[in-house]
Amino acid sequence: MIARSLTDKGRYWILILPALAIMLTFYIWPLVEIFGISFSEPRPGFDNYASMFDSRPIRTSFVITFRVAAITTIWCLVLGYIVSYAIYNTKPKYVGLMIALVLLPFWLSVLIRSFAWIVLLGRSGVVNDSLGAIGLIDKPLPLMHNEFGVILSMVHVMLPFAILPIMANMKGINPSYVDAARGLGASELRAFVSVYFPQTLPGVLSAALLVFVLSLGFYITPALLGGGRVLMISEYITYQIQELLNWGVGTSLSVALLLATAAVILAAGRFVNLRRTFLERG
Amino acid sequence: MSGDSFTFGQDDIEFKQDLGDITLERYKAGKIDRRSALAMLGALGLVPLLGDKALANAKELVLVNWGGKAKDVLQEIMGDTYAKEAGIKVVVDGAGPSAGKIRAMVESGAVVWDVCDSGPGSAIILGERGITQPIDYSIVDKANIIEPFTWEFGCANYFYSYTLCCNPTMLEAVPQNWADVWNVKDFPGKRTFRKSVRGMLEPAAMAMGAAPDEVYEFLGDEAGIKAAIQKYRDIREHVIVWPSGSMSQQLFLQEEVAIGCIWSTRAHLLKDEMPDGSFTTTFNEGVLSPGAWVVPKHNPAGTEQAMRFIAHSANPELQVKWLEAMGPGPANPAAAALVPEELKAWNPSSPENRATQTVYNDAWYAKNQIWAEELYVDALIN
Amino acid sequence: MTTAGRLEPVLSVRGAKKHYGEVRALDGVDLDIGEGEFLTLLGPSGSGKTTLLMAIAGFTSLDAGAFRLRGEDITDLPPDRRSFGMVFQGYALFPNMTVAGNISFPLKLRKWSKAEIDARVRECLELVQMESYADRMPNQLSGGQQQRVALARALSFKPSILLLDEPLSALDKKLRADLQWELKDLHRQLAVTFIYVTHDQDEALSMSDRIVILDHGQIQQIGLPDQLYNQPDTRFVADFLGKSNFLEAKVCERLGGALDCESGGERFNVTGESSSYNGADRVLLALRPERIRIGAQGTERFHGVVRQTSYLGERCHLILDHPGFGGVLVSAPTWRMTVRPEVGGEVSFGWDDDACVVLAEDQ
Repeated sequence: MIARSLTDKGRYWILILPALAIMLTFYIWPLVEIFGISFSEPRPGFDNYASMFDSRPIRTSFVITFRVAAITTIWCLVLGYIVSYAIYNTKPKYVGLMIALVLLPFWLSVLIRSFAWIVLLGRSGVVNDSLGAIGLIDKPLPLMHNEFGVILSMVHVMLPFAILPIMANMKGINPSYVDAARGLGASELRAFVSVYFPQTLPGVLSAALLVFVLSLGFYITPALLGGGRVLMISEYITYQIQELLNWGVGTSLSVALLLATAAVILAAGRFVNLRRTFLERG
Repeated sequence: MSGDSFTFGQDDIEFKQDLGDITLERYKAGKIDRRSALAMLGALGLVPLLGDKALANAKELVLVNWGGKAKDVLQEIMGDTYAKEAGIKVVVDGAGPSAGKIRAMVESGAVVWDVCDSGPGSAIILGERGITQPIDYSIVDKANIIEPFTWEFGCANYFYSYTLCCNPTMLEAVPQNWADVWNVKDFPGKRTFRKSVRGMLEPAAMAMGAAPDEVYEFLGDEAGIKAAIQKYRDIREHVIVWPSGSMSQQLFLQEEVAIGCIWSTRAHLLKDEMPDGSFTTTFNEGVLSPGAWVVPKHNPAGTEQAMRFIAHSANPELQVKWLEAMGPGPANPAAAALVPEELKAWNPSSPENRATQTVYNDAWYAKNQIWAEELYVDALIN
Repeated sequence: MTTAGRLEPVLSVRGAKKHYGEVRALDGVDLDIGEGEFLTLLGPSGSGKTTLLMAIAGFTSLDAGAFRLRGEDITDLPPDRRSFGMVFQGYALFPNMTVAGNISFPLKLRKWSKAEIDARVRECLELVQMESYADRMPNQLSGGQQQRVALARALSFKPSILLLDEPLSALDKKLRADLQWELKDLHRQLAVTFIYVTHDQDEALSMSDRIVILDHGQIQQIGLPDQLYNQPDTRFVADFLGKSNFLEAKVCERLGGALDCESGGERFNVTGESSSYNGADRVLLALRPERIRIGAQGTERFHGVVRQTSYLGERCHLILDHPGFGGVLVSAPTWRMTVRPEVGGEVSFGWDDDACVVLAEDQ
């Protein structure tokens, strides 16, 4: 019996072996290399990490990255919550349609969505032209090439990542809780605040973690809509490596971003069920 | 990663890649090129791994530039004409001959490139390291190349500039010099500058009153550099940066910016693409920058073939065709007179335009780029 | 319309209608509920009983009709202003609050002082014998314990009416029986009006003061448990509440209070209360299986062949074949069986004259 179950186990290992090999070759090993380079180029030692703390633009870039990710997260949570709540409180026949609309943007690349925003937000873009045409503004609003444009577009990209965990959470909440609260004398608002909202917190925290972590690594959107002034850390890494061929600093920044992200996830692990957030979504 | 100290002596490879993109846009007809496989391998840095003379042989001359349609233009204007003249097959590889790749190729002993489109910075460093061959000026006539752009290990092949461009329809008055560009009060509107510091501190220095020929003197010490950086800090609220040549073009096309410091080759395109009267360029206080041919040691076609090609490429008529095709200024002083009347004002290397420009100084960047770059980024984001 | 009789109605339902598309969940319901009464809404699923309860609670709005609470119209009042206690089918204890937190929730909403709340929470927990569970979270409790807490929470703010939506349906049979006694006991102690929804006829019969039987959104019959059981008005009620044999009979003669009937080639008298009898020639009779006696051949009037037997301990169920009646279900107490019926064997059976009930024609 034991021998039999071992061979069964062995069979499963063989099944995941190709995937594992690909991960090791194309993901883990390059990561190890990157880690190595950060300590060895141009000289062995901790120079890259020391200069990272000394460098004002790098510090600023980290601050910008965390700030933009945080603001994006907050907006995604607010809007994602409203959308999810609407989906579960609308007529059941529209639920499928609404979920499809939420998922639709996944079929468009981030690049295309960013260009779409450029068309909308430009100085002579759709929004400014329309507002100008109806006489609401007499000179174009600065809607992009700044943090506003970056965050707007990032919220757009990240919104489904906020909606899905919140929606999954709301789906599991029995509507009789709210009825019970109403029946016990709570107003609609009070029932929401005291009974419904606390039960959606796990979904909200999952969504927050997912959006924040993904936002930390954003590159295309800030590069296209930030006008060069919203320099997030992954763009800075590209800049160090492509522009300056500065592999040492570039890799050490990558390692720092990786560690910062890991720290965020570990800290969040105290409040969020990580397994559910990353593996059992939707 | 084989870069180490090579890194900062290197020329502006971004410009060269951009030159490739330009013709891509210009000659939209796309034909599949025969040697795209080689180009791809080259782009991945794999060519040197393929072994000695695997891909080149003495019966052909391999020119290397930065790909895109610039590859086809080089093939057509310089390569095919030389093939006819010398009776040797000429192929162009668009792999991008960065200093690091040339070094890796020469050091591995598997040289497949004959003549590379590089820049003066790389020419000097590669030569000093014994990686490239000296130019044989008995074959290449120095008189066919604008003074003083001939060096021991390389010579100018074309010119481009960082120029002041404007969209007059978005401005009350058109800025004539960098001092005007920094005057956001009288010349309101967004400005675009390059994301990298290269070619950007010179305009700032000139805006502070440095004459074109004094720019690098002005930037010669820390105080000068910090002053130039401060100029960017002063106007950063008005700045949108361009990370690529095509982006600089887009910013003008979409009227996102009214003023910019962009490559003359992109200006060359914009003059045709923008509506009449909505685009101007001046070479006044421009930053003139040459490209350079270099020849790796042990090149397969031999030194003489390489030198004879370089001499051929200096032909003024061919150089004018190059300008017409994609905007780079001729390296041969005799070419300026042959440029058609309507393009004369757009030639970065004409005597009139050279007179008002400063010349990009690779040595200065080799010394200062790394920390100037950091200060520049800081000025724009912090 | 029968009223509770003993007291003024605390809650009146008038002309309640609620349609979901083609489905008539409530189709003109009129009902008066007496003060302190234990009233059960009984019916199969889809009969409208839960819709009626939810409408009373205020979670479902009526298409037409009105509710009056002690004469005051509460039809349009939101649920939180009706102040009815409610116990949900799945208990609906707030999972983010402790037991005490759940029970004090309605008291905090009513701005009771902390001391009052503490005292009342303790009192309520004692009432349901859950004193030692105040600080537990709901997911740490068993189903029965959750049920007790839900009850304590619903009663904590001293509502005059308690609404219970199939509160025992999720529990196992034995626990359910225990809780039935406890609920009845609580009702007696508190003198609160209970409106209780169930689809379980035993539960309805054992606990209620009065039962309302609903089907297709309409009230079929209202009455005391024994009244409904012994004097069903309709075939539906007779069939739903317990089991019945149905006999179509021809009325041959009317003899005072009794009817001389003929059915399946047999003649017999029907003397049961026949308030439903409207003088027609043909009637439908309901005959409870436990009213039929069986005996050895010749001891009773009719003869049948045993088709099937089912031994249930205290009782034995038989299906007899009779050439005229067809299959007849008999439920006989085992201790009084004088014959041991074998499948295929012949037995005789009969019933008293008052065993049959005349049913009104079904709508």
